[in-house]
Amino acid sequence: MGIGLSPSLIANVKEAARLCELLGEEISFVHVSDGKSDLRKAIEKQVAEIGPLSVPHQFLWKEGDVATVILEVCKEQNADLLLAGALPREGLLRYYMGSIARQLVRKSNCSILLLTQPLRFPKSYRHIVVNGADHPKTESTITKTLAVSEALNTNILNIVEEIAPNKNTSRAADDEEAARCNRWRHIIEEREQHRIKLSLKNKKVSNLSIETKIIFGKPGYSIGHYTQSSGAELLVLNSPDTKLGFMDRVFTHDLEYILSELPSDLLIVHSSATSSNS
Amino acid sequence: MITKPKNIPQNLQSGLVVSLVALPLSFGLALASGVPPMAGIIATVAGAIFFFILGSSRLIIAGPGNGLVVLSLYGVGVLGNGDSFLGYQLLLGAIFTSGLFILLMGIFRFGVLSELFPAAAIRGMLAAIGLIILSRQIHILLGLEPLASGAFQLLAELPHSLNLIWEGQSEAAAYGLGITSLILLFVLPKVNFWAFQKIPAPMWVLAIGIAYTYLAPSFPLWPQLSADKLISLPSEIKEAFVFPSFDAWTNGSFWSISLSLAFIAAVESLLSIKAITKLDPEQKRSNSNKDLRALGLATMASSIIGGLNVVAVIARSSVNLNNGASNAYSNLFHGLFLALFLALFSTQLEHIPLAVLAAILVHTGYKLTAPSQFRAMAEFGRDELILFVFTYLITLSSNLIIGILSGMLLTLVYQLLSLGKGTYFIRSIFRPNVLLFEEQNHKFHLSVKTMSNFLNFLRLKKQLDTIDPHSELILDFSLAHYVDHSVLEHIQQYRIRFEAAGGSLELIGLDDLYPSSSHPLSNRKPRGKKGQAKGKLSRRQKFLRLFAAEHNYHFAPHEVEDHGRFKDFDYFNTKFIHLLRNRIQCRDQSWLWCDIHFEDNDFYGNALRHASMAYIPLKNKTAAFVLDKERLLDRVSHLAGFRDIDFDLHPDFSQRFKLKGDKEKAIRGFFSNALISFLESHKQYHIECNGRGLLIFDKERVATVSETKQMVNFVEQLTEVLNK
Repeated sequence: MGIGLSPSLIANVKEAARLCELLGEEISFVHVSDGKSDLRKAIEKQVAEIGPLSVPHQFLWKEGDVATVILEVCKEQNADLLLAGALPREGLLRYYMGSIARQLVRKSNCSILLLTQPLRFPKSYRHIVVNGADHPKTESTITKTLAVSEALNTNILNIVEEIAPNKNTSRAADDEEAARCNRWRHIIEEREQHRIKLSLKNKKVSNLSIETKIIFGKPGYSIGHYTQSSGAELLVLNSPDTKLGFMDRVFTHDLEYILSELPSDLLIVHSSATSSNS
Repeated sequence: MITKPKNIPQNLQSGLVVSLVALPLSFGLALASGVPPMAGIIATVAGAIFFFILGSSRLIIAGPGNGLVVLSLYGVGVLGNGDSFLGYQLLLGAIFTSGLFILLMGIFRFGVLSELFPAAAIRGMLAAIGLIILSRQIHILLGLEPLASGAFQLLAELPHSLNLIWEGQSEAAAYGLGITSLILLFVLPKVNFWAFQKIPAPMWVLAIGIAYTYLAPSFPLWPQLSADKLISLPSEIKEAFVFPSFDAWTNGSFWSISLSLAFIAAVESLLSIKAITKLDPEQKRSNSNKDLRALGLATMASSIIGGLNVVAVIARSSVNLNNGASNAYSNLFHGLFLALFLALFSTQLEHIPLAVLAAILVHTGYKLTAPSQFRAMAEFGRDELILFVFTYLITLSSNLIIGILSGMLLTLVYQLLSLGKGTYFIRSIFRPNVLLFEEQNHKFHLSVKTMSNFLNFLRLKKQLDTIDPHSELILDFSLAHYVDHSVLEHIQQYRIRFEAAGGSLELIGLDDLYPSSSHPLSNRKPRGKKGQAKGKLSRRQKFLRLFAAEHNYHFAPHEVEDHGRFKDFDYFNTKFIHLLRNRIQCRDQSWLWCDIHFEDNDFYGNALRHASMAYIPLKNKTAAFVLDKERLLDRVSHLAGFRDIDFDLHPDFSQRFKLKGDKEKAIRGFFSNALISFLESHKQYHIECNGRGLLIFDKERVATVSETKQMVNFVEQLTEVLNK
């Protein structure tokens, strides 16, 4: 867990400890200072106010470039999950310069969880949205989400697949075209529902209502909007296929929509990582 | 659109009536455009034939349009350099090219073009066109040739023209006929006499004009009308055809004129098509791309033989609709009738005085720019009026294209300024902001985020179009910060379509955005600190009020604090309740339904959520429990461990509902047989008990009016069962 001196420090630490209790075994808090100002004492003082944490933990105090150092620590410790606090919405300048959270997402080699609204008291992750795109990584993402939802005692899981509209599924200038478009949408929906159902077939699901939604809309954007509008607490996505660069922010697409306006906490599952989370 | 001929007599009749309106207008618009009168007739006939074959709107009448008069006149002047016949030929070339552009617009699916402009800017431009037409034609009505150009200069010249009349330099017959015609045009439609109602006023004044010119020579005492104050038609049909010239194609203004012609023609046509679709009793959607293609080809065909641009026109189309047209045949018939009139009565038509035609145009222009237009805009609020007047004045002092573009720009700047946080919203305009998903079978949820205005309405429209109007649609604006008048106007049209098809379209989330005037379609924006006064009711609130009144419930739309009624429920354990509003309450206070605004947590204040819930106080204390269909049950962490309480006597109930709570005995006591059978036979809601009261809700969002009715009904009956 990367920490720094911010108003949400205490909440972040508490939330991380709680998640660790449910998901993992041990947690390392990493603070990276720039070498000029020493915030260690201030942070230690605030953390001490919380009282003893219930999970095995350690604090690491490092110096250097924040993102690089945190990622190095992750590698060293062979971490399963990296946690970081993030602002829900980025300003224009921050958007193009890139925040630390974003740098982490871009370069990370393990799964990463961005906390947008950490709470001082335990918060329940009762509703999770996960992507169900037709992609090789999706299968393992869903498997892990099921494990996470079991651990977090989640009730509702929405598997959302976004279908980019094409000629057949978006043109509806008159009644005829609209009817054809609806037929196409229906066919695709049936097919995708079936595919997701098949991929869920061998999974053990207990005490969890799973609903699959097929959304015709901009990929990368729609799932974020859905998460926000349905009031889910966690959004789980595949890790990006390519490293995201500056041009991806100029021509916004996919993950960038969600990163620039986080609808909820965001978990990005890194598929090549060894099985994490309980 | 060629269909099987149906209802021919009816369409024949409406075609005839429309042709009576179209005849004087075709002459008048052509003359006002600075081209020979036959150009208007050619455009009408070409429009009738081509649009009938290729167009998809059934009720539209195609012909020469008001909007292009100004541009065509300008084109003749600029291209011809003083030589009006050369100018006419070159203009025909420009018209041909504009037809090509319109055809391309149709092919590349620009049919949504008209939705891209703010309503106020479009109306401002049309009103300016009206004034330009009026200011020029009023001189011709007085029997004089205006000297100035530009609407303001022309109006300023009016005293000069009146002076000329006073000095007797104008023919008394000309201005006499002109003024009489103008008065008749205003008065006749209001006279309740069958002949005036059946035959349109322009035809009456035309007949009077022709009759006068026939009779005057036999009465030497009457003021006479000289030949140059009459329209001149070619003596032979061959002479009517003039062929376009493309010699000016190297000239920059040739291209700018043809592009402007294409643009204005497309916008005018699309607006008319939309307006007529709104009035269409069958609410059949037409394909605007197909219509554009048809208009493009019609324009090209018309210009090859000397006709003006063909556009879809609103005034003639509504006459068409009012006279019982039901398919595209009436459009064809109106063109054929016009050709027939010309063939049969060409000598009589030569006796039409110019002043009479000018009167018809002044009347048309006046209707576009009348004070009632300004009043109508003022109803949408001060901001819309400002934008309207701004576009109006810019259009008058520059040209149509600059006018509408600057109107668009100002609207955007105004909207951003009134919101603050400009950069965020600018960015949001160019990003996706709509989400459509199927909540249940045939029940769609369309959610709109951040800002919804004329610029990004296309995205919303694209999704709206794909929804089958037989289904139920909930349009959710609760994540939006600003919804502008243009969007609401478009949505109203969708609502009409959905309701006509048997579906429904309900808006939610608008209760929080405050309208800028009392008009239901005015801009909606977040209420500033200043405007804490009572806001106007939204459509949903009005329906709720009506519903409450019908059942003798108490309805209170204003915001109140929650006095501990909801706070104690487990559901609100980690949530902060801001306020309650739109309360519907039983007279004896035995239950309460309301919209609750709450925040999901207390840390970052950006997760404001709204939901409709009901509360029933219990007479006797009982144990806390949660009842639901699996779904939302385990949200309350401390209940997670308890097992589902089943009733052996009610297997169906036990299977469908999950009931949890720690004091099993007390809970079993609470669930009497009557209560269980009631719950079994009704819609499943989430019901939660905190020992003192019940919390009931369905979805975690604001309920639509129909959902509310269902829910209130449920709550009322449940209260009765509980009190037994």
